[in-house]
Parts: sequence; C-alpha cells; structure tokens
Amino acid sequence: MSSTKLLTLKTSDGEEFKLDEAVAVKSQAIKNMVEDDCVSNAIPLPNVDSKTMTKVIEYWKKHSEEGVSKDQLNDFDKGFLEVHHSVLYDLLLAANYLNDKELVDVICQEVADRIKGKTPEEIRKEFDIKNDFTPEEEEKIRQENAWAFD
Amino acid sequence: MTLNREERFLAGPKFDNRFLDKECINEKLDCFGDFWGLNCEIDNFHDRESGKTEMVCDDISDFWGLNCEKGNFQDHNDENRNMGVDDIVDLLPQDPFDMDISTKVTAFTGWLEDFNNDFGLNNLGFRTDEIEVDAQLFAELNIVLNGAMRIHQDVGENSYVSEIDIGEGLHDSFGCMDVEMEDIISSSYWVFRDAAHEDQSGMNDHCGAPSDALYLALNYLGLRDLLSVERVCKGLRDVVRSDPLLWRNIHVDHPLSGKITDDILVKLTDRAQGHLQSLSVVHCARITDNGLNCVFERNPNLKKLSVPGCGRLTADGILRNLKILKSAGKPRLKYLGIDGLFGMTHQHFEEFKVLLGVDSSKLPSNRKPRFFQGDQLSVSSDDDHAIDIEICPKCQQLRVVYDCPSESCQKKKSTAQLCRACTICIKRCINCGRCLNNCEYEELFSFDLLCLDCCRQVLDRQERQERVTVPLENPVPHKQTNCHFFLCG
Repeated sequence: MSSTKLLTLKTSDGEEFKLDEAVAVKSQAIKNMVEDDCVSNAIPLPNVDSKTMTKVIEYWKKHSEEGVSKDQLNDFDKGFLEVHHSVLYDLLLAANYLNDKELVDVICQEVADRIKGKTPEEIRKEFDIKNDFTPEEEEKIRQENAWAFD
Repeated sequence: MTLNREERFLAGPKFDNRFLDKECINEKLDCFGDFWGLNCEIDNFHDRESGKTEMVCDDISDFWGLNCEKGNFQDHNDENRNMGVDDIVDLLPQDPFDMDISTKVTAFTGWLEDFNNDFGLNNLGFRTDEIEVDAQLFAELNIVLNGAMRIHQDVGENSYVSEIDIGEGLHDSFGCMDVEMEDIISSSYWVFRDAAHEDQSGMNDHCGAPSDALYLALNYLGLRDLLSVERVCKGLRDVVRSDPLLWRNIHVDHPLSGKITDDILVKLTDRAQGHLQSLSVVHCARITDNGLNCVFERNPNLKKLSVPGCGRLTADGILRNLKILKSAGKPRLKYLGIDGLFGMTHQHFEEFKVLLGVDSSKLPSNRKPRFFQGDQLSVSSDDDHAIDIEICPKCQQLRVVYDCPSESCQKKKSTAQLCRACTICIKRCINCGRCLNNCEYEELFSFDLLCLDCCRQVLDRQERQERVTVPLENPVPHKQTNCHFFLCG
C-alpha cells in the first residue's frame, strides 16, 4: 500500500483540494510546512484562488505521472500555457507564492516568448497595457533607445 | 481668474490631453465638457504661447464650475479623468489624512512656478498662470499626478520602492529626485495606487497597468527586448531602469553588436548599480579599452567577461584593467573570453592565466570537453575553462580548441592522436561538432560545414517544407537560420 499522505489545501475562496503529499511538495512552501509538521489541518493558501489552484494541480499531476515521455510533457506544457495572459499572470503569481521554481520558470519563459521580438505597441496589444506616456516622454525614450532599433 | 473669450485663452491650470484617450479628443466628446459639471462642447483652440492646440470649454464663464456643485469634481472623475479606465482614486475620500489642504496650496503654487521655470510644466501635464487658483482644484491635484505613481510590492526576490514619475524633467533616467521635490512628495498628501491590489489579472476594463507577474518575466528577456519593454509604459520603464537584478548579466550580440558604443555600454552596465556579474560583448566593433575600463571601475565584482571578436579591444588594455583590479584586492574574475583579441601573444596569455589563477599543470582531459556548435564566437562560459582560448596542439596558435563528440575519436587515448584542435586545423560539423577529417560533408552558403548525417536530417525535413529553416539537431544561435539548401560538390 502506498504510504502517501493526503494533504488538504484551502484556497482564498474557501475551496479545498485534496492532494498526494508527494505531488504537493513540488511547492517548496508546502514542502517546508510538511517538514515543519504544520499540516495536520488544511493548508491555507490565501493568495491563490480555486480556479488557479485547479490549473496548478493539473500541472503538478501531469509532471508527477510515470511513463510520460519528454515530448509528451512538452506537448502538455505547450497546451497548458496557451491561455490568456490574465490566466498566465494568475498562474505565475500562484507559482511564485507556492515557490515552485520549475513552474515559475516555465511560465516566465512563456511570457518572455510572447514579448520577444515585438515592438512596444505590439507588446501593449498583447498584454492589454495602456500607454501612459505623454507624446514628449514617448519621443524622448524612443530617441534614447533609437541606437538599438534603427 | 481672467479670461479672454475672443482669443479663447483659458486662464488657470490647463490640462492637456495627457489623460484623455485620443478618441475622446478627436470626437470632441462632451465628457470633458462635463468634467466641470457643464454641458458645453469642446472646441480646439490655438494656444498663442506654445503654439499647441488644446481642448477648452466653449462656455468659459462657466469653466470654474459656477453651475456645478461643490463635490461634483469627484463625481465626474470616472467618466473624464482617465477615459475608459476605472481609477481606484475615484473611490477615495477627498482628504483622507485630515490634512489642512488649503495651506498646501501656497506651497504648491510656489512649487509649480519653480517647475515652470526649471523643468517646463508641460511635462507635468498642466501649466499655471500667476493667478490664484481655486483651492478645490488644487486639492485634487493629487489625482493628476497620482496617475503617474506606482508602488511595487515585493514580488519574489525583486523588491523595489515606488519611483515617482511626474515628468521627465524632474529626474534623470535613473530616478534621482530633486531634494525639494522629495520633501513635498513624501507628504501623505499624495494618494498611492497599489498595483498589487488591483485586479490581479493585470487588466482594468480593456487596458491598464501591467501586472506584477509581468515583472517576474523580465529576467528572461534579452537586451533588445528589455529596451523594447522599456518603451511600453511608465511602470515598465521605471522597473527596467531601476532594478539592478535585471542587469546583472548583460549579453550583447547581433543585431546590437555593431551599434553599441562605449557610452551606451557604460550607461547600461550602470543600471546594475555595481552588481554586474557577467558581461558578454560579442563582435562589438565600437567598444574600446576606455569603455571597458569604465565598466571595470564601476563593477569591481565582475565574474565573467567575454569579448570575442571586438576589434578595438587590445590584450594590453584588458591586462591593464585586470592588474588594477588585482592590486585593489578584487581579483574576482572567474572567466575570460578573449578569442580574437588584438595583439594577443603567448606572454599575454601566460599573464592572463596567472591573474585568473589558472593551474597550468591541470591537463585538458581533466576538464569538461568542449564541442563545437554554431557560432564559435559565443563560446559557452559554463564549462571548466577559465579562459576560452588555449594553445592549439596542432598549430600552436592561441585559439579556441574543441574536443570531438564522435565515438571513434573519444576512444583515442594517446595525446598525439587526440581529436583536439582549433577549427582551422580540424574542420567540424556546425551541427553536431564532429570532425570532418575522414567523412564527407557539405558546405553551406555561409561557408559552414555539415556532415552527411546532419545533411540527411535536413533533406528529410526539406521534403516537408517548401523553404528550409536549417533544422539542426541541436538548434544553434546562428545568424543565418533560414537558407535555401543546395547540395554542392
């Protein structure tokens, strides 16, 4: 019989998730709590909502599965990250809060890939960022960095 | 306040279209007219002072809200101040900290006059005349400037304090503030907007400020992309310029190589605020010994330096810099990439080895093997080599020496037979790095060489694609990643 313990994680909106300890310790924060023996009750995660937690657990489970090839994992990651940037933000903040370096790395790389090679305007469009420069400020910064783009 | 109807010259603070969407201005939305609780149309007028065209209210006599009740100002913030963007400021009380707002007006009037003289007030988005302004208006001044303020909460290992940005004229590109300004701004009069407690998805309505999560990803960007991100919005500009963690490792290669000068290099490395750890400038023809000297002086803790193919750098210059560092007790350099350095002699090489603490008795075979892949000018600094070049066993010249990944070559034990040499002595496949001495190969347009195994991979993929992207087994950072592939020979 497996001796894996089940941990209970409670998200900010009150939902509880039961998860194998072996999977949950992908989060360094949870791992520390386990080692400090603070997990008798549900582990509160006030900075993560249930929608994001569901996705994070989906990632953890897939990356804990046995017999999954590297290519399959890559395909999974690719599909996992094909989401709106708002979802990526939530995932990234959750992964950072949970201290899962691998997940942070993967999501940051995806965000960076969405920025690479784009002009400032394209980056604004991609991430729905408002241009709050005055025309003068914008022109000044364009001139300062013109050396890199002409 | 005075006004001149004929010339439509509006006295008093004038707000330019800084906080209005362009659509609003073009469409002459009456939202601005309602800004002061009036129902008047917007009309463009020509400011005789600056020659700029600005928005003013037609019915000037009512401009100061003679028809509006006190407190209406705040009611119209939503629709007017930041068009199409909800502003948390709208929800805040007028005087949350029980400050005596009226006495602050005098301070601000004087402050604004100074700005007008020193910095150009149009940078702040408004101008003043020498007239007494309605105290209520100034009480809400925080809203104008608030739009430019951000607080960044601690995110992971990046933590930084808000940079106050109220116009380029007020501080240099690295966020140094005028002392008087700081005294005023430190007052709790200012309303702070906490970016981390905004909508966590980073979106307010359609457009908004970038989420803190975006800042986490900046570390994954190259130099050129960082400079693009700097131009996106103020928040990102401030972070890119002021966060030293983003500038600890700087890598400059194509397409910036030929464009970067000493001044730009020093300016960029200064962003590390003395914490520059690794600098890689590849094929940068405009960097000189003087520029590098400046970088060394300001970043004595530099651990890795790679300057391959920089024609204006000299072995003497770099040696001089390293000796100065060592005499100052800071010989922290762990890796030196100097392939192609002008004036390099064997004596220079020996001195470099001494400065870096290289153990000459350590046999090459004890180190991790180095295989040729892609652009030979960007040799990885992650292996055990403290200096990228060494004396080639075959030609005795100072060059980058590669090992051979092919199994037959790795079995060779005798030093004389070892497949180790520079790429001039032993030609290698650009993809897998194996030697081409005893096998057939093809030459690409770029004069790079591909062994037959790698060729077959290319041909297999060419059948599936109309245009070949050099489909290398190990994707290499090569300039020519797209080419039409033809067999020759």
